[in-house]
Amino acid sequence: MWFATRFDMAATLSSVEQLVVNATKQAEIFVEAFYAAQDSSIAERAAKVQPLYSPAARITWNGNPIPYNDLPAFLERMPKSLHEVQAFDCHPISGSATGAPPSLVLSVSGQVTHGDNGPPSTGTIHARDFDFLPRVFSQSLILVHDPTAPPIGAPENGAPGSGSQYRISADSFRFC
Amino acid sequence: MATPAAAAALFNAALPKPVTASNQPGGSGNHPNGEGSRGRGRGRGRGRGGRAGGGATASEGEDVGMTDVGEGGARRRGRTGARAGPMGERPHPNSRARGTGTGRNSPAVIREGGRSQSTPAPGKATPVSGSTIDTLKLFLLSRYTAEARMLNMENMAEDPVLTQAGLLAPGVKGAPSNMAGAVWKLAAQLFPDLVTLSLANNHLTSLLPLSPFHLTSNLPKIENVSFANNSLSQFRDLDPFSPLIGKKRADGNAKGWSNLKELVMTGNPMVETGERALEYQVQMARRFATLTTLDQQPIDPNIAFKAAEQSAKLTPGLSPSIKSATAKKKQRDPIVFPVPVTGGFFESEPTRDFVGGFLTKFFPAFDDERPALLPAYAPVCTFSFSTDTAHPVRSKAKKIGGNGDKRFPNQHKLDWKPYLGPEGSRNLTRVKYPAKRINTLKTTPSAVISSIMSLPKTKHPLDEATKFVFDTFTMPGLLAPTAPDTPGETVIYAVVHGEFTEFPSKGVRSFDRTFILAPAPPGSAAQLAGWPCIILSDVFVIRGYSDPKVWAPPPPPAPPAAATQPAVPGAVPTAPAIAAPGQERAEGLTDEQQSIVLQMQDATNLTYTFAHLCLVQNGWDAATAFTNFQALQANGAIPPEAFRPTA
Repeated sequence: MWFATRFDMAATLSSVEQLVVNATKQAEIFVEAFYAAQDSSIAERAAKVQPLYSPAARITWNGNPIPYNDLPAFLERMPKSLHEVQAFDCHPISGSATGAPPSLVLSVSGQVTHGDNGPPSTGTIHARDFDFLPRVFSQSLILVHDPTAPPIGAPENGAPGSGSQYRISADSFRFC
Repeated sequence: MATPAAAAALFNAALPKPVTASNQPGGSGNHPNGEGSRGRGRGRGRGRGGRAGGGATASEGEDVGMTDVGEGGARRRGRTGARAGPMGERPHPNSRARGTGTGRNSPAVIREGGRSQSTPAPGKATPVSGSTIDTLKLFLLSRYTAEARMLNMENMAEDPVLTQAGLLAPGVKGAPSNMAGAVWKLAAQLFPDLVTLSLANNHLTSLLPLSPFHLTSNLPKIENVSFANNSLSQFRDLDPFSPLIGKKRADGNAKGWSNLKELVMTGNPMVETGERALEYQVQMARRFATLTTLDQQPIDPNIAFKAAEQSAKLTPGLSPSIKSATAKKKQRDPIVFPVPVTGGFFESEPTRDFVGGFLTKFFPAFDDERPALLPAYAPVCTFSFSTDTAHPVRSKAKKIGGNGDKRFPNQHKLDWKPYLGPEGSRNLTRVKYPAKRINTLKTTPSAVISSIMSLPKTKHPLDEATKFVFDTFTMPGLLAPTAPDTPGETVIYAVVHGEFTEFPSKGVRSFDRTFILAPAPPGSAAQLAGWPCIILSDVFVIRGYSDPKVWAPPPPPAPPAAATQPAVPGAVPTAPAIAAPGQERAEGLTDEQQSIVLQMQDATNLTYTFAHLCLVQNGWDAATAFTNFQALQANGAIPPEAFRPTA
């Protein structure tokens, strides 16, 4: 009975609720695409990551501002990373949408391992390997919808337009 | 049939008669009857894995360390008499040996005629039949040289006697685990004068299959041994043979070979020549204080003591070359980031101060009086909290919050349950149902406050600024304009990271909180309550505690007094080359000289160091210095790093 109720619920969502649900779906698509791009090989990384940002984006990495045009150079100097997203949450920003999809604030939390060797297996956590252990990271993004942007992160056989047209307009990344 | 006396009789019958086919050089040990057949039978029975109703013998422990502890391997210790045979048959209750109250002797079922050894269970301890004993004796006798008192056990895998009988030699893969023990026991009985033993060319990667315990127990008087041309790589492989190093025996008797004079390890990976030769020799000398010849070279065992004073670390385990090879394989390049981790980002100080002021009001209210936050939230706002319950790996590695951590004694009392409720954790990796996604996002201030009130009480350590960091951005145009053709409104986007103590457990959690703040409209409840802004969005993430030291900005770099360091690409940069706050000053300069240097710098755009140098070389004559500088510069003799970077 509750099963049917869920589907009924979908049909009777108010517009605000629909906004919220859409926002969460967009967040899922974006998170997956974003960290897949971040974790790609150093040669490909800049080309995959930079398009996810809007040209006017304000980016900081551990307190250091990175201008949009310097992003490829910065990414080339970063060691290879492997992000493990453990939690994320996304709100549509109230007052940002009038007819158009709203801007979103997305907060991601997880652990990231750097270097070529990949994360150590859980059985070998040892203080002597400290420098190679994953760090906790927290990344907070503001996503703004861009109707001209090519959708990213669409599944291969998904419906057309199922990707995300959001682009990052603010990014704050920190090791925690 | 399975009574002790009957078993003993069986084995006695299997004993070779005093004169056998193979050469029997004189030696009283070859006449077993001298010891008394009963004793031999008893000893024989215990020498093999099969304990022939050996209960009666268990109580009469033999000396020279034939204790049950080592007998047949620890594996058998767990077996009791009630163990079923492979076909499911249970041993006859009467066959249960007496004296197994110790539980260490496991009585096996002795089948009549003994079991054929043609199909030994690999690695298992199988009851050794009389025919096996015969074969082993034949094998041993074929390898013994009486004049040299030497037993040559080289290349046992291809021994004709053993292969013909279908036996696997000890040390060969698949050989029964008690084979070696039986061999040494026989050897001790056959050759009591044995002093030289060779185990070369046996493809041994470890000496354990040779049962070192039995070897040293049965043949304690060995003086010369060769393990040449095997694959032994660890010094500690020799520990069981050493009287000094390694685990002591359970019965407290002396272990190992206390008379070892010559040792040959040539052809093993553990042997070191060249610069590590001394360490290898020291390791051998440590183990055998009576050693005089190592690898056919004389050796002075006292080096073990001398080296202990000098050398840094003796590695008790792997030989150094192998250790470095394995270390190289595991080596990881150090992780270097293009920029260092720095403090909170802000575009302008007013923004930073504004947000700082807001947080100074927000967190105490969150700690002590949550309802006071009600006016701070915009009439249409969003709030949710989520938990990242994964345990931070680095905290785990440093054992932060573990047992006995004085700084965090209460971490174990923390529970995530209060956060995982109907209001709660909106972790979108876990929360998938649309209904819950909707319900956990609060959009009116009263709903926000009731959600906040459901969270455990917190205390943020606001008096310790190092425990917090926040980045702030101003986002113009983020909000849709309120009137057409007006620019969108500006909001402040602030991300705070910090920690708080949670009550009642008093454990510490880390958190991240993202705020979107808009200016408080004039006359609004927020302004009237003294809030500088209203909260449009509040995303609250609670995590396991992780150390915020990583946020602390690096210590301010020391002013470069020496020549400027060349920039290493990819390394964490030190101070930017722009003039550090506070003018640098070489030592011993008077104020006048300092001002000359500064003027020189202005004129030439040299760095301080080079300007100083130039003046010193020219006797502090500014004019000459400047002239010479121009001449050198015309010749291109001045390196580019001598100049200040163009700001």
